[in-house]
Amino acid sequence: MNLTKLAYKNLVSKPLNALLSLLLLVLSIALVTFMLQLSGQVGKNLDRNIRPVDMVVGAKGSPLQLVLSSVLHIDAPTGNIALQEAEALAKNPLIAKAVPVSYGDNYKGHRILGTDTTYLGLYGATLASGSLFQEPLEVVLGDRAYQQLQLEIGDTFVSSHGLAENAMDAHDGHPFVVKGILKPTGTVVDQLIVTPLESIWEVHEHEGESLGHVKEKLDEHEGESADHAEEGPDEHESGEDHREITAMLIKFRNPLGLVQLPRFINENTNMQAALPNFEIQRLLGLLGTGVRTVNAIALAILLVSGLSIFIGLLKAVRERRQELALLRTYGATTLQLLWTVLLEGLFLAVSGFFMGWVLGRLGLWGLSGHTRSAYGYDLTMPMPTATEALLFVCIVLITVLAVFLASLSIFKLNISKILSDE
Amino acid sequence: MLRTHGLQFSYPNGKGFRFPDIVLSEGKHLLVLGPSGVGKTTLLHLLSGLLPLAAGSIHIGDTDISIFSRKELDDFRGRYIGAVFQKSYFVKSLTVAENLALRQCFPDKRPDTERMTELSERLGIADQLPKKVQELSEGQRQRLSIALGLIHRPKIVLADEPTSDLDDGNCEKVVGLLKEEASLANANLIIITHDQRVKEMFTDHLEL
Repeated sequence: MNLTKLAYKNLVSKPLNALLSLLLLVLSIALVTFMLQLSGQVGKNLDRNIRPVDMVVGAKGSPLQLVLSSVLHIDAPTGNIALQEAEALAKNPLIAKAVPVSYGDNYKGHRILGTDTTYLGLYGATLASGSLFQEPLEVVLGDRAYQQLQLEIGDTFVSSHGLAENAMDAHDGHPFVVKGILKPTGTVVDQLIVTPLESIWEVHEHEGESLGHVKEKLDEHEGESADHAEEGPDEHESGEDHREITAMLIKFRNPLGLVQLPRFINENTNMQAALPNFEIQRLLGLLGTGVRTVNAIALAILLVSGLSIFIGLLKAVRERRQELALLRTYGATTLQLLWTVLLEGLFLAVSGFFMGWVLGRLGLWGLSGHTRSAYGYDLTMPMPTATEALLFVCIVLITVLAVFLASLSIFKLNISKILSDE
Repeated sequence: MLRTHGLQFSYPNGKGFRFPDIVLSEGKHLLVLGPSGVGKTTLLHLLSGLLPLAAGSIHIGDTDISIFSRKELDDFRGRYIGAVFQKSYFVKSLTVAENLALRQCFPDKRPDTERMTELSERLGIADQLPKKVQELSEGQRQRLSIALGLIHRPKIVLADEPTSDLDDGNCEKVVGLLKEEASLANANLIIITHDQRVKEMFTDHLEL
C-alpha cells in the first residue's frame, strides 16, 4: 500500500464523479485533436495540389467550380473552350507554362485526364515503372489509381462516360492500354489516369457531330450536361480546328501575369480565368466559420472539464479532511498529501487525454473512409504531433493548477481540531 | 521512555497552557485525567509533534524532539508514535487490510503481513481484513483503531478519550486491549481522558 495506490483507490471509490470529469475531458480532447488534424491535413492537401497552378482558364461559369474540377478534380467541369483560343493565349509572354487538360470520362471512379507530359512536370510526378504515354489511348496510372484498379502495365480497360463510378455508358470501341505507373506524389495526380489529349478526342469521335449540334445537346440537359463537357468533335474536314479542351492550367512567368492576365481574359475573351489560391482561400474562409465554431465548442468543453476536475478534487479534499488529518498523524508530510491529490488528478488527466486522442483518431479514420469514397482523398493517421504534445502539457498544467487550488486547505489543515472535534 | 520538562503551549491570541512534567520509564503506562478545557488534547498533540511547543522539552529515549524540524517531526511521528482516537478514523476507500498496510508504510517501512495477521488475530478482526471499513460493526471499528495505533510497533501509544462513547463493559475491554498490546510491544501507553471509570485500571495518574 503506497500513496500511488491510495490515489487510485480514492479515484475509483467515487466512480460516477470521476466518470463525468473523464467524459468531458475525453470529448474535448477528441474534438480538439480531430479538428487540428482535419484542418491541418485538408489545408496541406489543398496547398500541395493548387501550388503548381497559378491560374486556370476555362469556360465561363463559377470560378470555384472551375478550380475544383480542373485542379482538384472533385467537381464537374464548367464546359469546354476552343483549343485554338487557349493556345493563342498560351503564347502570351507572361505565361511560363500552359498545360491543356481535358476530361470527362472515368474508369471505376478514377478520372481519366487528357493532357500532355508537362502536366506531370507540374506536380513533379515521375515514373515508377513502364514508360510515358506516346500514342493516343496510352495511359499512365497515378500511384493510388494503380493500387486500387489492379491494372498492370500492358493491361487494357474501357472507360465509362461521365465522372461518376458505375456510369453505364462505356466507350467499348476504344480500349486504353496501361504504359506506365507513377511514383506517389501526395497530390491529386495519384488518383488520376493520365493520357494524351488526343485519347479523349478519339474516344469521343463516334459522337462527333457538328459543333452546333453538340451545343444544342448541351443546352438541352443543362443540369447534368457538365459531365458531357468532353463532346468536342474533331472536325478536320472543314479546315477549321474545332477541337476543344476543358481548361488550361497556367503557370506565370512573373507576378505581373497575376495582375494583368485574369482581367484581360475575363474582359476580352469568352473564357474565364480563375485563380486557385484565391478561390480556395475564399472557400476556406466560408468553411472557416464552421471550423472556428467547433474549435470554440471544444475549448469550452475543455474549460468545463478542467472546472469539473477542480470541483471534483475540491469536493474530495473537503470530504476527506479527516482522512488527510489521519494521514498526517501517520507521519505523512503536507507534500505527500498534496502528491496524493495530484496523482488522483493526473490519473484522470492522462487517461482522459489518451482516450480522447484515440477517439479523435478513430473519428479521423471514420471520416477518411467517407472522404476516400466521396472525393478520392485519404486522411492519414499520423502519430502524436508536436501540437498534441503541447496540448498534453497544457492539460497536465491545468490539472496541476486545479489540484493546487483544490488542495490549498491541506496546507492549513488543523489536525488537532479536525480529529478532536466531532 | 518519555520525559517532558516545562511544557508550554500558546494559542495565537496569547492564551495557553502549562503542563506538569512527565517522566515515564520504559514500558510504563500513564493515565492523564482532567475535565474538559484544561488542554488534555493539546498535551497529546504536543507529545506527538502535531503542535509546536512554546517552551519546554520532550525527550523520547535519548532524543529531544522539541528541536526537530517539521519534516523530522513527521518522520518521527510515523516511526514511533501510535495514536488512538475517541472516534474511529479510517481511509474509507480502502479495505481493513489496506488501512493497516497504509499505516505500516509510513514513513518508509515495508508492509509486514506477519505482524498484520498476528495483531488482527489477537484483536479478533482477522476475518474482517478483506472488507471495506464501512462494513465493520462499532466494536470491530474500535479494535481496528487499536490495531492502527499499534501495527507499526510504536514506542509511545497516545490514546485520546478512547472510552468516552462506550458502555462500562466495552470501556473495560478497550482499555484492557490497549494495555495488553502496549505491554506486548513494550511501548509507553498514555491515555488521556475525563472518564473516571478508567481510573482504577491504572496505577500512575496525572491530574491536570
